[in-house]
Amino acid sequence: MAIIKCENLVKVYQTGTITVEALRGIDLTIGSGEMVAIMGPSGCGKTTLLNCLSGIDNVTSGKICIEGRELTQMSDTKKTNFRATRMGFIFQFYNLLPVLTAVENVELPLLITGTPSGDARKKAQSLLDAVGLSHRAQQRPASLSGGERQRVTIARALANAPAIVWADEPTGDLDKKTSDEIVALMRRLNNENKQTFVIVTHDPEVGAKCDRIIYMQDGNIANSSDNSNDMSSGNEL
Amino acid sequence: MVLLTLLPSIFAPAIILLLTILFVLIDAIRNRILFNISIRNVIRRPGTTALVLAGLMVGTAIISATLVVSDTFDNMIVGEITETYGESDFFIKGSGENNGLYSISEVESISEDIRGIHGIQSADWFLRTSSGITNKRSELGIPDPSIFGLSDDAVKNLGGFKSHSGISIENLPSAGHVYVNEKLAHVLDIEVGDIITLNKILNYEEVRLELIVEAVVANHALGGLTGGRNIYLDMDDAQQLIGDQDLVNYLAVALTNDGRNDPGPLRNTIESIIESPSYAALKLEISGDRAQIIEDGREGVSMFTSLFFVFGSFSIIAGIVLIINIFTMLGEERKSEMGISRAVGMQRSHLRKLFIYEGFIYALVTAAIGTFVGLLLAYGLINAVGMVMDLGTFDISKYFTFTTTSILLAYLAGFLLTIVTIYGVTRRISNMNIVRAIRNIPEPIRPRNDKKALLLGLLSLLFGVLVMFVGVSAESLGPALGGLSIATISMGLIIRRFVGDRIAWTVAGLTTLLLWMPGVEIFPYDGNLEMFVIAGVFMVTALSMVVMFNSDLIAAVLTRLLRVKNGYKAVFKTALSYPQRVRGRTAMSMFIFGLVIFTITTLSMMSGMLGVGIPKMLEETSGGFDIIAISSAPIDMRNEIETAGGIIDSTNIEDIIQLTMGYSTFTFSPLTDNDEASKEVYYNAIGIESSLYERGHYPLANWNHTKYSNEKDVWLAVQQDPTLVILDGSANSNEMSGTGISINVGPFHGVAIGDQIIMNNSTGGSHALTVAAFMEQSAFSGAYMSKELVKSSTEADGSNLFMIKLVDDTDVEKYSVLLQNRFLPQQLITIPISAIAKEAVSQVNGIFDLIKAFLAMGLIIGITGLGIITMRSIHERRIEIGMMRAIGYTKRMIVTNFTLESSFVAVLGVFIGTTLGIITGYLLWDGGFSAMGIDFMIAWKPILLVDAIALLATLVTVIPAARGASRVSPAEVLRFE
Repeated sequence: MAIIKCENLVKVYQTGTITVEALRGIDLTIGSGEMVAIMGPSGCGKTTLLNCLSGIDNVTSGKICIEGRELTQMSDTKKTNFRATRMGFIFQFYNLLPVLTAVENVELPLLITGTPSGDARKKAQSLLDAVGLSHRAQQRPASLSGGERQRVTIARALANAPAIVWADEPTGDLDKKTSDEIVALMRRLNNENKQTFVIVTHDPEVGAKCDRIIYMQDGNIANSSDNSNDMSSGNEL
Repeated sequence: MVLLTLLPSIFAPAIILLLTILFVLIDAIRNRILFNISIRNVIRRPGTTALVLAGLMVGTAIISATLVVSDTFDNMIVGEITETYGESDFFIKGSGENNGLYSISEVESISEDIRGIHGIQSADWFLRTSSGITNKRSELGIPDPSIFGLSDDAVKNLGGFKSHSGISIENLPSAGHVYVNEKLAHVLDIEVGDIITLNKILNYEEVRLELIVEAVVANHALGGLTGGRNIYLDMDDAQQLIGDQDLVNYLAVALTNDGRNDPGPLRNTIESIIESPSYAALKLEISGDRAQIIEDGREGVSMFTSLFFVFGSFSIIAGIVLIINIFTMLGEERKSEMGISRAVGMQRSHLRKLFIYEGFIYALVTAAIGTFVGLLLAYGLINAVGMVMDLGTFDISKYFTFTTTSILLAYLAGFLLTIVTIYGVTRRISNMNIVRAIRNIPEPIRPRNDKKALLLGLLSLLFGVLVMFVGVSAESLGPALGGLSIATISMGLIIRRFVGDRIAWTVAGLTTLLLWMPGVEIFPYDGNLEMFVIAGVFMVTALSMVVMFNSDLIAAVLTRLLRVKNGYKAVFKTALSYPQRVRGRTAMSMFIFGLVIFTITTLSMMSGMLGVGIPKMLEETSGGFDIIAISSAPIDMRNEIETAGGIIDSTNIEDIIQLTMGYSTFTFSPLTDNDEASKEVYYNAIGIESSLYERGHYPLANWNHTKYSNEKDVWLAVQQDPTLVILDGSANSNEMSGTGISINVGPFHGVAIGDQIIMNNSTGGSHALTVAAFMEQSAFSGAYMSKELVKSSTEADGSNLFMIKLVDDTDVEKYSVLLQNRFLPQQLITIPISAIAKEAVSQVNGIFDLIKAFLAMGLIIGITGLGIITMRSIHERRIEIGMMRAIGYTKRMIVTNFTLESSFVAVLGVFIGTTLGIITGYLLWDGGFSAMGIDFMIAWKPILLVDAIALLATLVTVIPAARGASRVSPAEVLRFE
């Protein structure tokens, strides 16, 4: 069953007198519980696609449906609330709030959606436990390693049990060993929770561990390769 | 103030300014690329530049306004005294027999001798007296105009008159005619041709003169003499009022221009003449000295401007902290580019120069803007003074002026203030780790065992102790308590090593605060007005430290108390956490807000207490009566009103108490003043009768309880025993405990119950009096004693002091005027207590409001500071905002987040300022106002109004910036920044 569907997606940036066509009529469908990698050379439109699909950027034209709801027709507030309840985000540079501890960062999306403080704290603790960081719950980001920070970001992304997790270069700032651990963690969570993961990456090893790789070139989807047979993940395509 | 004394001439500030500019410019030419970068940094963000300029110019504006106000008052003093003295430089009068009246033939030789001195232009005798006056046409009258009987020579030599239309008049009015000055004409609605009646009681007989007004003369030269309401007439006519055709009592001396350049020696020569054996018996003395009065006036003005400087210095200090804050933030904003600059080879000194050049450009511009704004502010203040004070026809705004020296000084002070502060800040900014700077990684938190912090703590402690010992050795409260406060604050840097930041700074802050609390007196020294600034700065610093290092607890309590619902819990969490991350800038903003609100709250406390206290004091002074009246000639008022009431309806008068008041000198040995063996004071001697304490309410503050069982016994004893005296409450002088500010409220300071004071009789004898009690009230000053003693020891005869109680709902002000008119020949002057109270309260509040308005400039500093912080904080957290928007913060949540963040700092600052202001208000009450019989009260309304305005203004400044933050595109910032 398709959880993400977009038709003829166009995104044009206007920088001074220069017009950049970042997305040139993308058609894409991603199934529920799928773990998809979006790959391609720098400037091909990977992050723009992710931003448009997740609703943090507006499209120039085209249609995006998430869980059957048309994102492109939603007001900013509705889109924001939808993101808060149905989506999670993982960024390359973690983007944790430096003033909050690890557990406070994880509970933030829960508090936004109105979860009572006590419940939010319990859930955040259990999520940190799930990513293997319960012992670092009271540390602030500045005293965590890169891998630990990204685990906190993953825990934060999962806080509201979202249907979709968007990850933009989640391993871009990590060494190989940590990178492998993070991808394995995402894979495990994807298997366990049946949540859809859309990962933008440059790293072929990350792509190889996903169910499908979508290759982009100059704002278009060049091709798509299916790894599901190799992965034996059993995910629905 | 130091600058003022160091740089008296226009050249000194100009030279310093030019040298500084020259020095920086030469350096800038040698480092042209750095100077170019600095110029571009100034213009790269116009919005921030505008805020920086606004913040930096406030200190200069306050300095400029104070100097221009001082110039204007100086101009007013000189101008008014020139008017009051005309061409005269000295007035000589006597205290010899016959009430200081002398026959012309007796004193003519003195004026001739004085005229013979080189440097003296003229010396002319004239007669000055007083009487009741009524304008027949308007039927208006007053009891106490000054009447001048002049000779033709005196008119010419003393500058003559000017008519209303500006025409010079150099001759006397013809016989049977008078000139009146504009001040008198205004009050009595006098026009040329009106008939005026002068009448007074002389040796129990009424003297009455009817004269025609020949001209209304301007309040200038002779027309402005004494600055009062004047009548001028021929000497012979005037002498009819004193019943003798040959008497004079004043000698006016005018100097030549040369003489005026150095009047001191001429005064000495004149004194040697009037004190010479030939004239010593006449007991003449110089009673008016133009140069001396100008000097005294200037001293008074300097006290007034000191007040503005002292209160204004809070805003100046806040301005300095704002400059530090602004440049620290500019440093943080450019940290990454500075890191890159260092990586490619720039030295630390280059980075410092970048900021110094930038600061130099800002200082040049802001000092100019600030000086001009100060000029406008001063103009507004001068006009406001005119409106606030009841100055009658006096137009203070015509004296508005400024000197080039003041403008230059203000510019120089503002320029140096900015550039020196920036120079200090650059040291910290340029000290960076290059990698951390390039990657924009936050500076690590200083570890507990940081040796630099410990060393700094020890050095500060040592410095504080040294300053304290300097204060102790000089017996000066400022450095003593200030030094001790530096030492206790330094303790924070030392003990954090053992107990961590929160406990260390909380303990250091609370200890420092304790030093300034009511009831704590560590050093028994006197302070002065500057103590208020020192106390304010240390108290606000100490409480800011305590609040800052416990703000997480405050935030937690607030979140719990406010029962925040839905997603706003997350907003509260992020908004209240950020100020704790940037402790330095939060503490500085809190300090700025706290300091300004502290000053305004303290002033509100003072004006609130005085506003309630003054009417109460006046009510106590009145003893429950409505009108106090004093006459020049004795009156049997009760009898006259009852038997021949005239314009007074006796049924409206409930009670009249008739007392006798004289004037005498008293000698005593003060107990507390070791420098003087004995003191001599001039004071009212008031003869009492039983009705005063039986029907009036005059409570006693202190008396010998073993000797007298109640207050009535004391009054009775004093009434009957001519060796006893009761002194008014002003004899109980007090010091403001804690602050060390002392108020000497009466000349009998140091006298105690049971002490003896000597009353000197008018006949040359003396009389010992034992102090039996002190009264509560101090406004109606006097030594209260037996009536017979007053009559025998002074020249008072019969009743001349009256306490009048009217029937309820009678118009007090109207009866006050009616009584004056009824007893015009006796020159009865009435004081309607309630009207006076109302006027006094309005004037006190007016002055306080004026100072508060002046200080509101400080609020601009605080609010500008928060605006800058908010803008900066939005700029540096754009990626965070993007992330927050991505994970579900709505635009409204972002606006709330940033508004809440700034409001949290403002609220804490307001809390600090308000709390400490109220405590200081209590200190002032405990140390001074309570002794004046004023009750302690908190003027919540104006305090909360100022707090609300401050917070509202903060919101108005912050919300637009916060709305800007909410418009940050998450996709853009997460992708490109």
